[in-house]
Amino acid sequence: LKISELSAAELRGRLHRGELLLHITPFVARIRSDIPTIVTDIALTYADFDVLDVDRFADFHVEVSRENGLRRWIKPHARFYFDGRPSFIPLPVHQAFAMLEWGLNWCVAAHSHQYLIIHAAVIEKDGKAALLPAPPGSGKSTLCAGLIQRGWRLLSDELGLYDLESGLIHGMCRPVNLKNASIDVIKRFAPASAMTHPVPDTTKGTVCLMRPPCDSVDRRMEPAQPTWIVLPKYSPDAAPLMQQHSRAHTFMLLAEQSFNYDVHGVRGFEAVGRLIDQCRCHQLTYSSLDDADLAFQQLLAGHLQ
Amino acid sequence: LSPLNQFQFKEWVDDDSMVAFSRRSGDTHFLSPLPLALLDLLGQSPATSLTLADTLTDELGGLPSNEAMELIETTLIQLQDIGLVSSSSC
Repeated sequence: LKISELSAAELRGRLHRGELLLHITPFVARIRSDIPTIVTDIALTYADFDVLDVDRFADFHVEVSRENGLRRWIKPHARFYFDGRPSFIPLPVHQAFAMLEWGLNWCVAAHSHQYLIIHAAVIEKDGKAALLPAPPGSGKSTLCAGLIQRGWRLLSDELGLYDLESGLIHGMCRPVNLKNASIDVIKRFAPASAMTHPVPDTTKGTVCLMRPPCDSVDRRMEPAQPTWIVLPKYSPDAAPLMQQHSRAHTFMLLAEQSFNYDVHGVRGFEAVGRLIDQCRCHQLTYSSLDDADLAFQQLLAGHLQ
Repeated sequence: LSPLNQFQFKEWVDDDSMVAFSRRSGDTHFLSPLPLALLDLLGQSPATSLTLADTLTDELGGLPSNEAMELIETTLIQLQDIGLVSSSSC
């Protein structure tokens, strides 16, 4: 049974009772919420995820609920709870689903040290994964959202989970977080893509979340072999350019963009070193998704070393 | 040079820079070609910044300039701060 097969009333009931479990592989998150937009946004963006048994073990127990008191009526706010404890400051209730997604990111980043957790989009084709690590604003999510419309499998648009033992990379195949101008870029590039209503005035500007492709969701338990690390650099009007990038510089960027590099000490240093060894490192300057798509096709075909 | 066993290095054949992990501080450092050249020279024998500048400019051609001396001194201070180089008054 898929989430899309639940009626709105069934989904609402499960969320009210805290009985909706999301298999965001390799984790399971139990979700509770009394907020109507969370029901509709989960129905839209997690449509292809399986409905799990309510007795299933969950790694993370989270809740997003309306604040009580006067706040319930005047400028209503919602709060994120982790294991029953309030976490983070409350946010306006219209940001509830974005807060749930950000909260889930935090759950993973703060508690999953069996992996090196890298702030990166991860996509895969022909068994080969490309990591797109980058600071906010580099166009990482936009590029990821575009390429998964062109046959690349989505592992993650935000968190790459590098397995220290196997050297494989995992993703959770959760909704893709789009911000500001990238929302319209993707709407034009992929008019059929399913997105939540844009939510204005968040700390990241206007955000919306895009449903991951069904095939990627079905294959979300398959890790992939890291093959390329591509540093995206969006530059308006620039001609597309895929250049080889220094491995030592890429190492430092990965270390900076890893949430738990410092936690692992020398093991983290060795892990990032192995990851760099496994991959070819590039920087992609691009101004259009069509150009980026072509550059990635060439990468895949082995025309770029 | 400080004892290098407190550091772990990672290098690649297709890159002229490398990275170093300090077991003492837990910090990771990026090492570009200039600090690597200085470490190489100091690995052969202790030297003053002036000697290092002379040796480097001999190898690269040209005369040591004020800018080159400043750059070498700044780099040595950085290497000292991270514990890769120690200074001596002798």
